[in-house]
Amino acid sequence: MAFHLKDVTLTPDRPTTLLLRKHSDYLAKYGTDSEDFEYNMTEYLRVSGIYWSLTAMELMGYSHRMPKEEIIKFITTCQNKENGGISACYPHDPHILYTLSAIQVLTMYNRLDAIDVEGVVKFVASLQQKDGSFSGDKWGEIDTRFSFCAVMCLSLLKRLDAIDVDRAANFVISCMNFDGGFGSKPGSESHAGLIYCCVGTLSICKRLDAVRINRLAWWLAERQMPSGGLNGRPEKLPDLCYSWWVLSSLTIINRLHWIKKDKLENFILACQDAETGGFSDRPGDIPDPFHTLFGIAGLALLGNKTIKPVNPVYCLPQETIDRLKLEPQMYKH
Amino acid sequence: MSISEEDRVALTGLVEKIIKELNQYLEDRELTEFDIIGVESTTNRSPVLYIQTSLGLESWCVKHVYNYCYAELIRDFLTNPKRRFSRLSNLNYKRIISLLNPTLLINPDVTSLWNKRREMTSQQFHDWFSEMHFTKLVLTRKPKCNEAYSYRRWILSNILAKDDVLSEEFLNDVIAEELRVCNKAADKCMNNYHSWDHRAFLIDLSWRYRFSFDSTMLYFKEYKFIRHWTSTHVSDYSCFHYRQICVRILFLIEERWPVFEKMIDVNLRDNFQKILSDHMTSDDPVATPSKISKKTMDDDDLTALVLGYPAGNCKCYATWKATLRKLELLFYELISNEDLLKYYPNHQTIWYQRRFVVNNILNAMYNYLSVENKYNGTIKQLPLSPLDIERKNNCTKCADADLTEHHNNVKKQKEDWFWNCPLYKVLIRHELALIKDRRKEDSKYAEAHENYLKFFEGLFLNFNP
Repeated sequence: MAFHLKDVTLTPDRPTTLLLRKHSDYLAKYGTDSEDFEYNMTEYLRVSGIYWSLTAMELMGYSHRMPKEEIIKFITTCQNKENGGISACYPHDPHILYTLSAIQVLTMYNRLDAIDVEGVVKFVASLQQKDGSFSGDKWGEIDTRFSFCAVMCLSLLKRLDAIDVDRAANFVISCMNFDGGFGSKPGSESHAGLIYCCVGTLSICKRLDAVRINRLAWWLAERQMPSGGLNGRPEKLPDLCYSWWVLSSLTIINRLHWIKKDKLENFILACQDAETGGFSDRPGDIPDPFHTLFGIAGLALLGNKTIKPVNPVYCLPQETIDRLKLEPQMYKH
Repeated sequence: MSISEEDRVALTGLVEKIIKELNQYLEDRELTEFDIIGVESTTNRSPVLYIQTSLGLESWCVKHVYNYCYAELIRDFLTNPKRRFSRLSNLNYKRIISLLNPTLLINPDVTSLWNKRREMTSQQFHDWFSEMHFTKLVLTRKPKCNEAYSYRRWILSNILAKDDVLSEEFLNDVIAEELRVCNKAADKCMNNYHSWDHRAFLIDLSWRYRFSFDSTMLYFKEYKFIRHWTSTHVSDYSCFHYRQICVRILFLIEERWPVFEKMIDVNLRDNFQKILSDHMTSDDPVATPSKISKKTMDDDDLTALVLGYPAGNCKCYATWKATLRKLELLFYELISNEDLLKYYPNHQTIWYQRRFVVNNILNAMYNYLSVENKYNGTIKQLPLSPLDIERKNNCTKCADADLTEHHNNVKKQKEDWFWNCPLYKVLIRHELALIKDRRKEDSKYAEAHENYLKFFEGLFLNFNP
């Protein structure tokens, strides 16, 4: 039986140098046409879109190309006056995913005064369940992603005291599988994106002791394909965003050297669109801000000197984290 | 691009017509799927297609329908949260639903729009059955849409919470329907994390209601189903992960094992004894091949033979029955996995499944023997649990003996015993033989398996073949 490995082939004409200026052009222009169908279709995640673009711009040193005051004003309109939560865009419902994005953006701008911080704290705390888990909004869906959003959000606001941190960490630990990975709920399949959320949560809660470091790092390192790209689960195609989920997790547990860095760098560079700027999930696909951020941030973790250092837990510029004097736990051995 | 007022009026008329038509068809309970059909330009016929039990929308009109419905929902029904509820009347309700339906069929990731349905459903503006039907259609086009699964779970939890006395038939029907939805979604889309997660949710749910219906039979059936499904989806780890969930829930079942064996057409005991006898050698002190393949062996004798303490020790706190059943199932999983490995070389998924099986066999042994593997060539005796102490106190053999002393006496013997325990040797010999065999065709993953066993299960540290 013929066998085809699920991977991509990098062609000789692929981009091999980093096209920073192009990417900033791409992000500066993105989403300026509000009559657009795409613009309408993605309105339900607008604040996250702003976070992806702004963080990428900050890391590249082009954040002055983003409309700062407009963004801050926009976020102010997204906060729900009654429960304090933030939505992706008024009048959508507040959700912890967008609450985090909003806080990340305002933290980068050092403009938390633009919202009712106490309202946010109350909203996040109200979502914690008895078992320590978090629901995303009042309707009750549970996911480890929401645990990460909650602790990251409150730690950026210096208000972790508002929740039961031990229980939050213990719930995440209960989602660990025999392979060292984590899933979205207890017993769910290991998934690189959710591993990042869980390891990040445990780093902020200073509970990395619970992680089975080598077992997890082995599983993560096995995500690298011959093309150099990383997938998020066994036998799936490589996807640029896993350059972030896998790399950041490996960085937090101090095992970045377990993958072949130069091959991954080649893959990331090949995902650039040399004409329009921006990164896509795989070479040749259409770029978007989400993959653009994780391409840039992945290269930063690999040590690219033309990009500012990125914090592997918060996915924010290291300078922002330093300014706040935050010290998420990093595995030392 | 701006359009003239005349064009706008014409467009509004057209979109309203599409909305009306679409909603009429949606009332048909026989509908089985929805999709957007790639037709780029307008023709004289309606863009709403209805063929047998399938509903389609031509792609050229999607943009207009979405922009129109979404804008009205945002403007009139999502804005101003205080007035949201007061505005809900029967008339409004019909309009909202007729707008939500096309919008969510086109873009089912918009959480707030699902929330609108939640609001209306909790106010009993419409029945859960039609909601389940609508959600099912959404999943035929977007089988990975977690918002749709999440909504189904929300509805299910609400229905089940309302009914004080749940009939067996009702539970069976509800779960059967969810399983059908999951089957279809998993079939349409490989590695469908959310559909398998939803299926795992049903296993949890059925465990919660196990006194209201025959959940054991469900677990038996699910195992049989997933055994077949995994054999035809060998690079889909999500379904193998679900297989692990099925195996683990079977660990908790104490009754009707013969029924299960008949259903899956496997004699688990025979399979277990065959592997044991294949890998026993005549110099194994306790269990020789001839002894092990004896047909008439009792459960406790077999357990003692492959796992038990050296002769003379009391087995009173041994959870031998559950352990034996676990091992029989896991060794069947091991053999079943090998069949796949041999048919389909170069599949990481199948090898990952094997890691799970080996890991669980070893854990069953550690639990039974109350030991912890330190992964440095030593085995640490764990203190007796309160339950074990109680069992010992109730044992006629041990009741008079000093517990601590008894414990200390067996401790040293046990540590040595572990490395020579027949089952441990059998497992290693079996894995080594498989790795050697698979190296020919599947060298990368065979080697990775050997390394995994060595570094993460500590398997070869104290072993002399």
